[in-house]
Amino acid sequence: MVTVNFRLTEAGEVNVELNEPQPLATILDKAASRAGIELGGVIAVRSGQAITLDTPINDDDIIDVFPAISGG
Amino acid sequence: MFSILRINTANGDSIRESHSSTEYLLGGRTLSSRLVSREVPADCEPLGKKNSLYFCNGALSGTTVSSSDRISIGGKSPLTGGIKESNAGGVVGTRMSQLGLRAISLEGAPARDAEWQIFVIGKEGVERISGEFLAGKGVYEKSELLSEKFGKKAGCITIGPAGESLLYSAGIACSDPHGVCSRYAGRGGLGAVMASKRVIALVLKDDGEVKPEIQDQDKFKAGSRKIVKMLKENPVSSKFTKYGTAAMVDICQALKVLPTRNFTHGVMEGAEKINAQTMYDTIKERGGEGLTQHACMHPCAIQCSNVYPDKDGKLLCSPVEYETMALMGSNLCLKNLDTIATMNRIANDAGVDTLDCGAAIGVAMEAGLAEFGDNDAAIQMMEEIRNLTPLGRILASGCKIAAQVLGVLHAPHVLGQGVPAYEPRGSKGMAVTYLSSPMGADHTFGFTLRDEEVPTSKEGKVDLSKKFQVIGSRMDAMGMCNFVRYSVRDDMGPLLDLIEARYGAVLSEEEFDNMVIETLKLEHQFNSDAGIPASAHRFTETFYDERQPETGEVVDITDEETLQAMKW
Repeated sequence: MVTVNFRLTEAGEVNVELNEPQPLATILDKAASRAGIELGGVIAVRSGQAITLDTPINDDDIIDVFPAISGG
Repeated sequence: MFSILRINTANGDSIRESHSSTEYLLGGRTLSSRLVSREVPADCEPLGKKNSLYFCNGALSGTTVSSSDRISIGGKSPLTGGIKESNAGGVVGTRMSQLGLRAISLEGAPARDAEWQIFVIGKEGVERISGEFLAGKGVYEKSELLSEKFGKKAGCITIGPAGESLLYSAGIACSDPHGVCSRYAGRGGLGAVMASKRVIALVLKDDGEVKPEIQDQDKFKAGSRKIVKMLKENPVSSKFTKYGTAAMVDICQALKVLPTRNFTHGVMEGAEKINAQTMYDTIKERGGEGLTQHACMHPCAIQCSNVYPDKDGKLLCSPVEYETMALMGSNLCLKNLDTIATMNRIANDAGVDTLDCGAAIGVAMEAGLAEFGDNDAAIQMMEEIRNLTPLGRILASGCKIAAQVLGVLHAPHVLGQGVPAYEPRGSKGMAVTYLSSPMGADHTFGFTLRDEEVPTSKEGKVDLSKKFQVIGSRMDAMGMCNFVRYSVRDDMGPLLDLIEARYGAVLSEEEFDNMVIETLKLEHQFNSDAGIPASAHRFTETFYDERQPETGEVVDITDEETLQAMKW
């Protein structure tokens, strides 16, 4: 089970079943679909490290996903 | 045709000139930087009579297009010694449009002991009146006095006591829609430039009758509606509506680039106490005058601004933005939003840039003048600035000067301008942007953080920074809010279509980007002519030598890479 935490959105935490490692892009598509949200640009962080859309995601990973915005 | 009102601040004379060039059509930074490049001797003293100060609205100012009324202010910066463009929201751009103005210049300077003056611009012309009644007062009181005299709907531009005292972090405050001069063109010390001309306020009266001439009304209306739709539906810009820029606290903490303890760390334990959710909940709980969303100009579909209330629900500060939350919060190890909002309010009243003062206080804390995390001491330092004590004057001169005076080596600046709220060792793209900006350390163009696959790696970051230097500069180039860029970053067509509908002028994306790049070239050339060497485009050595604990990184951008990022 992968936990995707959509930070700064109403969607909150979404769990995605995983049988084998899959790219982050795939996981995000599934999680966003389950949460019923549209994803724009995002910043994804796992264990304190920024990860890319092609990073393999493993079972039990916890991913924080932020909208990719900027300061003022 | 577009008009520039030229005001001779030495004798009060003014003339209007008309122009029809593309630079006047676009306005904004396209125009202000060209005027500075062309008319200000690059080697002049920033606070001398040869410097000029330019105020330019943008191509779609005064129309129904959302977020199109930024005002661009340009001149030679006393803080960096180079060219400066700083822009602000508010209503001044709209009032200029209603008076048929694309630009205003303040030129020359009267004797140093001349009385303070206000230039009042209305449909009948320009009047020079004494500004002595504003002298020495804070910006909030100045706002009230200006509103009493000229009405809350007037577009006012003023400076605080720090500007009057010619301090290098002094900003220029512009009227918000409620008649409060709270929208700052904060960076670069342009408030001191205005003061050097003994101009304490500019007033754009609300009597202008010029309506925008639209060549194709139907196309313009449709285009304007399209922009609103794009802003509301864009998953990124729509996030600003709920949380504003404060959302960056959590993002930067997660990426380990949240400036902490005078930029010696990128993570602050307890950062959630000052994050967007805490701010949102606090504003909602306190109610009263508090607002979680607020427009700094009309119309605006994004409404990223806020009104932060005190415990009684009364307005404490508006807006409180991420950059301030970081530089006056985590950078000082402060975990109290009330403290940050109080410091922000004092900064607004004194008329100083919150980033440069936050960076300077961080340096002062490192020097041992106060403990990191001491809320009362941090507020007291802001009071020192407002009261113009010797220490306050040092702090309001920016972190480079503060570090020199206080004997601190780790001073977060480039070209003397304080580093914004993204630790450069943890984001090499932002490091390249800070190093290569003609404005000194600046985040509003070349914002790479959201697009860096591996923030700690410098691979490909020169190209990434250059890509976003253009994307970010597009909005400044025509007076649009920077946050519109999320909706048009891959296709400027909707905005260029609006320009065509308004003026009948066809501007291709390539032609527009060429104007943007030409602006950057002119800005760099000005700095070169001003005598700023390539070697000045560096952080202090500590950023290259001392590893940021959380990422293990140093700044490893070479001078050659910086030059590449500046070359067009």
